[in-house]
Order: sequence, then structure tokens, then C-alpha cells
Amino acid sequence: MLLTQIVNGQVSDLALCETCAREKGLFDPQSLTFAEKFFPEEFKAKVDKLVQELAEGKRVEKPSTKRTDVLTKCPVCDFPLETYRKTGRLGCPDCYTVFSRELELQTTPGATEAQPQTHEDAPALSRIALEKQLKEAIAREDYETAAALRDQLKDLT
Amino acid sequence: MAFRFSTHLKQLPPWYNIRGLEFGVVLGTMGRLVRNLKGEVFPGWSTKESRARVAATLTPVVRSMAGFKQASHAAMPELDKEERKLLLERKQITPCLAARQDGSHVFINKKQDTIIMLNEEEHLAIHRFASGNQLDTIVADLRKKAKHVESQADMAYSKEYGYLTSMASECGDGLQLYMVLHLPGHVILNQIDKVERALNKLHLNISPFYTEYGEETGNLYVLFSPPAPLGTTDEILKHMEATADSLTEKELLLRQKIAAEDTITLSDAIGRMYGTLQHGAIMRYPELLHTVSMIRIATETGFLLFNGDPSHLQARLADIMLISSPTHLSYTSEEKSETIQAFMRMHLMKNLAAHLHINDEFSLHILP
Ligand SMILES: [Zn+2]
Ligand SMILES: [Zn+2]
Repeated sequence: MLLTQIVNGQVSDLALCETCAREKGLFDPQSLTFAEKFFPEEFKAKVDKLVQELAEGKRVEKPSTKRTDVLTKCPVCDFPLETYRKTGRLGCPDCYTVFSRELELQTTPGATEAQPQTHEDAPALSRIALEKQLKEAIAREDYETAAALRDQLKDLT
Repeated sequence: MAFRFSTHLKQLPPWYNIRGLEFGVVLGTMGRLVRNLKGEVFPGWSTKESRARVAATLTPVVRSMAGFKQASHAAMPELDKEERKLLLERKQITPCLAARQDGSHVFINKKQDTIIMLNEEEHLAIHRFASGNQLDTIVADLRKKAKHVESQADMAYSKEYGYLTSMASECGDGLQLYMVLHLPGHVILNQIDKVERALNKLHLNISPFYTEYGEETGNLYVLFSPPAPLGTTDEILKHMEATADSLTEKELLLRQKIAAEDTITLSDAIGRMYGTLQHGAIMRYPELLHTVSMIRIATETGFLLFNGDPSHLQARLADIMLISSPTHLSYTSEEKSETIQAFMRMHLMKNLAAHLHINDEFSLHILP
């Protein structure tokens, strides 16, 4: 089975199957974060990175802090905790209960609240400028720079 | 009988040109409501069978909603790439749904102001569109729809997190708001960065409204909120409204400033654009986006006069942006040649330009 993929606004078929993608830990490669929902043109680099990872068969392993959660998989839907750590996604509504300790860590209200104020006085590169550079990097197919810029953009939010 | 999906794609969404609204700065508003069924795996992790079960549960719920008994419907496998692309370009479906197959569905009501997606990123996603600044109306309508949905099906909700979503950081009220703004004044006077920084404090974002056709955005921006954490929709709504109001006020001031202080540059740019419309033969889509923005600036500052109702002009400009895109022209006219498409595009603009003329008060004469 082919996955239909949208790269740079173009709908095309991607030669990989859902099972393979899942085995590689690339859960739901079509799903996007909220900012990307309406800007399909902006996530070409992300898609390319996923495709590249699949091709190379490697996974970007994040050094995950060992948590005390007993379950590493949701007993209802089999969703691995490790995938949540990598993608921020969950498999089913019950995952919220199963992985509640892990979620508590991520959704501490203070953690996200404080951030925007910290770079209030030191706007190194604005989001617009970064986005522009990101687009340019993608246009010249410089995915290394694109990845770095994307990370900087992430840090802004 | 529900009307055919392909017919739908050839018609313009009527909400797009509702008259009598403040069109000058806020061109459109959109709200996204998401819900998931209790006890069902999220679409990104689910099997074909569970997607089918979710669709079977939610389809009657959708059909029982006001305006959706007769709504046109497509199962995703029925839509070809061209149709998906067109829906995507109109922002009627999300890239996530465009990429889905078995078990995913899209419903569009007759007014084309509400789109319902099943097994998108979430089990149920409702998008509600309106022209101009209508956040209030949209939020009220989505809340009404949410209430109806919850009375018909058991939705995944927790006291701690609110409505549960596939992305853990997006759970909460299950509502997100967007606005499309025309900000040439801010762009010309380099004010966007400043706006950005101010919005950061309100947890709002602004981003250029990119199309897939290049850098040109026609000075359009999208102002959007993050998915509302539990119980924060009212606050976000308040912030969005205040932001839209102050951006509108500031934008109108900046335009006046440009018109007053940089008359020569502005009248030259408008004159050249007008000349191209008189004597050019073809127009590429990025140039059209730029021209549409220029016509808006020119008529709002009085450099160009439109003989007719100004809201007709705004509506026509909105239509042209939609119908003259390469995707739309290929789909509706089946014309694949880029040059002929560019000729058709220019023809549309020339018809409009026939109702525009240079305001003599502003034409600059070289004195002997
Ligand atoms: Zn495979
Ligand atoms: Zn689960």
C-alpha cells in the first residue's frame, strides 16, 4: 500500500507502507503540528527528513530519561510510550490515563507560560525572518540548514 | 438528493463574498473544532476496521446537524489528486486529510461555510469559515455544533485535560481560531516583526499566507491561536478580537502615512500596475496576488477609483484570487498550458480593470 503524501503542496504517492513506517517508529508521518496544518508548503524539510530516515533505516534516538512508568505500551491500543516521547502524539484516549505520569511532566503550566517572556528583550531573529530563511533553504534543497532553522523556530514557541 | 462533489468543486464558496463587512484589513475568519470518540484509537494509529467503525458512528451525527442532511460528501478514496489539491488550496481540507484513504470522509454544506472531516488527525474536525471579522459568530456556531455532537455520541473528555486529542499538547477546549489579514502598510513600513513580538506575549502567532506558487503572498498574513487549553477559549477569543481591532486601526494609519509621505513612489507603483492591466496580455499567479494587493491599496487610499459598490470590488478580488490559481484553472477549464492559463487570468483582471480608473487628483504632472 502506498501512502499519499503532500510535499510542497503537491500531492504525490510515497513508496512506503503504513506497517513499515510504524515499525520504524515513524508513527503517522502525515500528521502535522497545528501550525503546519494550513501551510503544507512549509513542511517539505520535515517530510524529506522522514523519508531519508526511512531510507537509511535509522531512528533519531532521543536520550530518554528513564521514567518510573510501569507500562511502556498502552494496553488498550499498543501505543509505545517511546513514540509519545519522540512525537508528542498518543494512540487513543486511554493513553492519557496510562501515561499520565509522563504527561504531567510535559504539561506543567509554568513551563510553557514562562518561555515567551524570556526572549522578549532579545529577539535574535524574528519568526518571519527565520521562516523566510527556512523557505529559502528548502528552495535550494539545503536540508541541513533547513533542519537547523526549523529547530530555532521550534525554540521560539 | 445530495449534490455531486465534483459540482461543488466548480462552484465558489458563497460565504466568500458576503457583502457589507469590513473588508479592508480582516478578510476572513476560520475556526477549527475537534473531538474524538471515547474508546476508539486515534486515526493516525488506528486500523482500517476501527476507522470504519468511527465513521459509521459519526456519519449519522454529521447528517443530523443543521445544514448537513443534504450536504455533499466524499469518502477520501473517491477523490483523485486534482480534487484533493483543489480542496487543500481552498483550505477546505487539511494536508492530513488530503493524505488519508480508507475510512476518512469529508462533508461540505451547501453554503460551503462548514466542512466536516472524519478520521482526519482527529476522529471529527469541523471547520467553519466566514468573510471579514466574525470570530464571535464562528465561536458561537462551533459551540452549538459541539453541543449537538456531544448529545449524540460519547466523546473522549477528561476533567484534567479537557477534550482529548491525538497530539497531547493540543487537548483542552478542542478549538482553534484563524484570521486572514491584508497588511500592506505593515509590510511596506517594516512593522511585521514588531507585531510578532507583541503577539508572542499573548500566545498568538502571525505567519505569511503562503501559497504553493512562490514567495508572493499579496501581503496576506494569518493570525492564529494555538489550540485552546482547557477553559481558555473565551480569553483567546478576547485576545484575538483585540488584536484584530488594533491591527486594523494601525494598518489604516500606516496606509494613510504611506499615501501622504510617499505619494510619488506609491503613485508610480500604482500607475505601472494599472498600465500592465491596460496593455499586458498574460499574468502569472504570483503577479496576480501582488496586483490584487495593489488594487486594494490603490482603491483604499483613493489613487484608483472604482465605479461601483466597494464591497463588490472586494468580493470580486477575493473570487479572482481563488478562481485564477493554476489548480483551479486546470480543474475548471481543463486548460493545462501555463501561457493560456496566464492569458485567461489576465482576461479576468482586465474585465475588472475596466471599472477602475486613475484619480486625476493624484496623477503627477511634470511642470514646464
Ligand atoms: Zn512494508
Ligand atoms: Zn492507547
